[in-house]
Amino acid sequence: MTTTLGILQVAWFLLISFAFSIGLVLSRSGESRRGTRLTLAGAGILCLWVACFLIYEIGPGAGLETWSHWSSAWLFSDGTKGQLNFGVGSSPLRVTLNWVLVGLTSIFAAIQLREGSTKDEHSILAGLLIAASASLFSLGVAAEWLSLAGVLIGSLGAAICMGGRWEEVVDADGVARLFFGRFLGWILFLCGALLLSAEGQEMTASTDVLAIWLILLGVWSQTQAFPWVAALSAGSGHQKPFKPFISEVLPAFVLIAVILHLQKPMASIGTATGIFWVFLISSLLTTLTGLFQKNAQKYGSHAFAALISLSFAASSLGHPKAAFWMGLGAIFSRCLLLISGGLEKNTDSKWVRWSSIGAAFLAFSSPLSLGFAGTQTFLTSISESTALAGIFVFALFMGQTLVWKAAFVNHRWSERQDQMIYFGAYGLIAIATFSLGWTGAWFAGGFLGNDEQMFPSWSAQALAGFLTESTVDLASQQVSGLLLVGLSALSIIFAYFTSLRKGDHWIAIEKKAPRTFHFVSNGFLIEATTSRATRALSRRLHQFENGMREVFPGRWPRRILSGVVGFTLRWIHRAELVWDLALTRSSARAVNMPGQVLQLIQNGSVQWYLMIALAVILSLLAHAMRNG
Amino acid sequence: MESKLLLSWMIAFPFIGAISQLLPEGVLRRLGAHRWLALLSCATSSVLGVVAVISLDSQNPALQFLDSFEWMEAFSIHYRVGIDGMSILPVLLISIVCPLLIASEWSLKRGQRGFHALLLILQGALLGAICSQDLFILFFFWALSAIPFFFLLGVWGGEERQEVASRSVVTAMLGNSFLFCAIILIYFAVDPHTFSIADLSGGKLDGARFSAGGREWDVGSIGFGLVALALFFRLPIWPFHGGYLRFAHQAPPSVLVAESALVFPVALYLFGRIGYGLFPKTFQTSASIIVTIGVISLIFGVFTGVSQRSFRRVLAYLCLSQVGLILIGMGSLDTAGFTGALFQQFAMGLAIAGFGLFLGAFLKRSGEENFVSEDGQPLIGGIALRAPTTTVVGSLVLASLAGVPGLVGFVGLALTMVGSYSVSPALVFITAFAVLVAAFLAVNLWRKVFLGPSGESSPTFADLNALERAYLFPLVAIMIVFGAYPKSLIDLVRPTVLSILSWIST
Repeated sequence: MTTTLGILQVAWFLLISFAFSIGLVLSRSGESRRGTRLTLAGAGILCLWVACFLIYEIGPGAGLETWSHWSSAWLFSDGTKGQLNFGVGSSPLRVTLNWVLVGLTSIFAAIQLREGSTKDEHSILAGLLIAASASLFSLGVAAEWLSLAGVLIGSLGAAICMGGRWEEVVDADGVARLFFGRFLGWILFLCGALLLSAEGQEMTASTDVLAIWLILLGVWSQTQAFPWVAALSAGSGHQKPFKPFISEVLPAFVLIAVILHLQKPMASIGTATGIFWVFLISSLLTTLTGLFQKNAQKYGSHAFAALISLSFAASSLGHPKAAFWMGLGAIFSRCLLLISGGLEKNTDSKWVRWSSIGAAFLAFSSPLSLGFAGTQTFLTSISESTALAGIFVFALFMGQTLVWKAAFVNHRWSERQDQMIYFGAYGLIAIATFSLGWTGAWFAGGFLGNDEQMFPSWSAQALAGFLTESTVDLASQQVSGLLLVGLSALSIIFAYFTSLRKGDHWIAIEKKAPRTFHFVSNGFLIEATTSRATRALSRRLHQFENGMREVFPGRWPRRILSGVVGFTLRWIHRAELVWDLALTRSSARAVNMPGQVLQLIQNGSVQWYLMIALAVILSLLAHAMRNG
Repeated sequence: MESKLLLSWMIAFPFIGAISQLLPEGVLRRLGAHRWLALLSCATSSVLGVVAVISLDSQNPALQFLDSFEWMEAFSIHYRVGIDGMSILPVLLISIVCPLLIASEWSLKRGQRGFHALLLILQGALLGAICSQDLFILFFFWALSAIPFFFLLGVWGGEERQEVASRSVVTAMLGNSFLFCAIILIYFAVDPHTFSIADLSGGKLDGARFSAGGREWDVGSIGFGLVALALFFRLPIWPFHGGYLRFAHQAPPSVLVAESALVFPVALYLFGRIGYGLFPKTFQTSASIIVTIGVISLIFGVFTGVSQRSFRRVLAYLCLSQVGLILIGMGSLDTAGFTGALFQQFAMGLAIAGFGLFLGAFLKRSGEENFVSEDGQPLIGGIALRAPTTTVVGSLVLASLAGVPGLVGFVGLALTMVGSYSVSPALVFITAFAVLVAAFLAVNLWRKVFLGPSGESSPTFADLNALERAYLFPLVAIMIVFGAYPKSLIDLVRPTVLSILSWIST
């Protein structure tokens, strides 16, 4: 059994790596024949599907309990301090997310293939494969800290997807922002994960809370909601739907999985009301930035970020399942909104309009959808706290308004005459949205062996009053259900009157208050301010360093050293000169003396016999002294 | 482990290669045999280095492949070499990078033989310094490793090469004089006098004292201080990094790589080896100072790097920050932190080598040392679509320096952060913050060079040629392989790290 599981794990890693490698090869195959590209893409998608079946076989297929995983040490040996594991984890939730992810990737790949041989086809297919394999990697790895690393690697897919537009300044900046944003989130996440894993039981409660905060902040930054919204606001709004799918939707799967991973540590710190407020305010501000955008293609991105942030808010109050449903509902809705733009070639297409509205409806308004079920469940559970429920409802209302606005002005992007692929894709995703709502419990309980009944098959029934066995109060369910329906209706009306009927009132603010408009529409200038501050600090440090180099290692020591050395050398030189002079004079005297004496004798100044007498006297004197 | 002179041959082959460059010209020159001889001797040494690493018994923390001969018996000086888990990463680093350096100067027009000979001397000297188990021999090889730079910089450097070369060698000699003083002090501190690292390790110098100026001094404090000062003279540590900045500005890319990717990791290794091994208690008491120096270097390196316009300066500041990160890991006195510091030396060497070699290939094409103008406008830009292979290689190198998962830089970073938690949780945040700024720097550089419209200096930018691919691809592949599966190396390092750390705990 263990051997088989080991082989399956290795096979899973190889398949994911293979799909990723195919993506890399595709990114370089711009010059190759289309047939080759399609074959490669097909092989990559096949790898992803097989990987999905393997992850099922590793977990639920093997009849093992949920959340079971097998890991081997990645850095240190098992059981050692600071151990970081690397292995495959499987659970019904992960299996479900895997299948949904690969299904959606296949649908978008099929759409690209039907779009025909475009200039950037290889970039899009490569981006899809790379991002999807990275997201699958994140969903499959056992260690939570590595799951977010997959998102970071997946951002490579988003960058490659934009390959045809890399020379555009705006899009080049967007790609750089995307990478940095992902990295920022990963660092926060890693810090939190390290705090949780580094010391284990020795940690204090406050460190635990800090670690969870960091992890959630890391996850939060990946949603691209406020204050990380700059990448959404500043991009050019690439007209095709693949980039949003790769850079927003695929990573969102992982974020939802990470949130669910964190149930246990989050439960240990209790209800994180602070984090709830952070996510909620972030959602509200993201919505506001979205409403102020001039480019219609950005509404959907902002709305998606705001809704995902809302689902995280639900998670932070200890309702991971509701968050899971809300997140999945937002994902389906976003995909439908992206696809609906291709439903008809005609610019004033009624299909585009109605299908987009349908997509918005499925986000949180349809009683049959996952998003609705999740929101309804969450509202029911927080109904006792009026303040929490009230602000959540308000944020939801604003988010829905933005979703409706995105639906009303959704643009056409396909150039094909034959739109059947889009109808097919739209239908498939819509069915999935409904069917998971209706049949999820069977799916999760029967097929995947999940006793916890992950999916809300009862939610629609609850609204219809058919609920007979539930721990949740029926009256509260109905109230929150009706509240949601009313809220949706109100948001449609509000969006219609503020954005569609007599022009866009949000954009009209620019004329009245241009600075405020600029401030809000650019994500409250968070990124610009931070970047400016970093550069200013860097310049100051650089100036400081130059100054220091002038003063410390440059001027002072050099002067002191050269002064000391120079002074010493000068004195040595002087002493040497004096000594040399004295030596020269002495030598000269010594050499000259016999000559001078001889000269005196020769001149007759001194008589030679006197010299002899003097010598004899001195000899006698010396002899007397020695003997005496 | 039976040695069969494995390490001795590994050290000797580069010197033999260097001597081979003195062979007479003529037929050899026409065949291009000199450079082949250089590459052959370098690669043979590298193969022996890899064999030593692969053959190392991972469960045994003791020295392996020991070769020992008497040299000056009267003074207890032996030629003694050996490796353990701590030495394998620098040995592997030099084994990987040196052949690539030789290959990168394959088409050097002026004085190729001399250039290759000096690189080979450097390789042999560094390998000797790493493997030496006798302080005197260690000093000999370490001092020797400074000499090639005087010529490499003075002959092949930029406009101010002579001044910078002189300064470089004088600084190195000053550092060496401190090291020599420390070694002499250590030699006389034990009875019987010895230079053997094994005989001096494990806290044997604790409590040893010497008299000078009518006072008693602690050998540990003075000796460790001198060793630290000596090695810091060869490292870019704030605020003594001005010389390195000038070096980076004047050195040819391959020489810059040799200094940054080979000498710095080896200097850090020696600091760890001598510090942890010979002065465990002093190292423990000085840990907070080491960490503080590391933090300052890290923060200063990344922040100042952001405002740089020149590739060379960016590399220099990234190097400064990497050295800071490694010092933090070393000062953590934690298994994960120390292992992370050792791994980060290896990772830093690979990534800086990648950056430097990439820079060399880049400068041949654009000739532009700055990537942005004074007003912040990209001077290059738009390379991604015209030179995709260059872009992929450059991106991976930058990503490794930034610590992106899946690449070798991430492993050292993660372990250092794990280790720094034991010092203070705040240190984790400081490290993370600095890494974030490093990522900002890397992404900004990447954006300005590879994306966006073409700059003034990159209208026709050719992709990497076959030779450049031949030495850059293996490097990038190694960065990915050890980034994806670092355990193979860490399992070799860890037993020795545990053994060394046990000296501190006892």
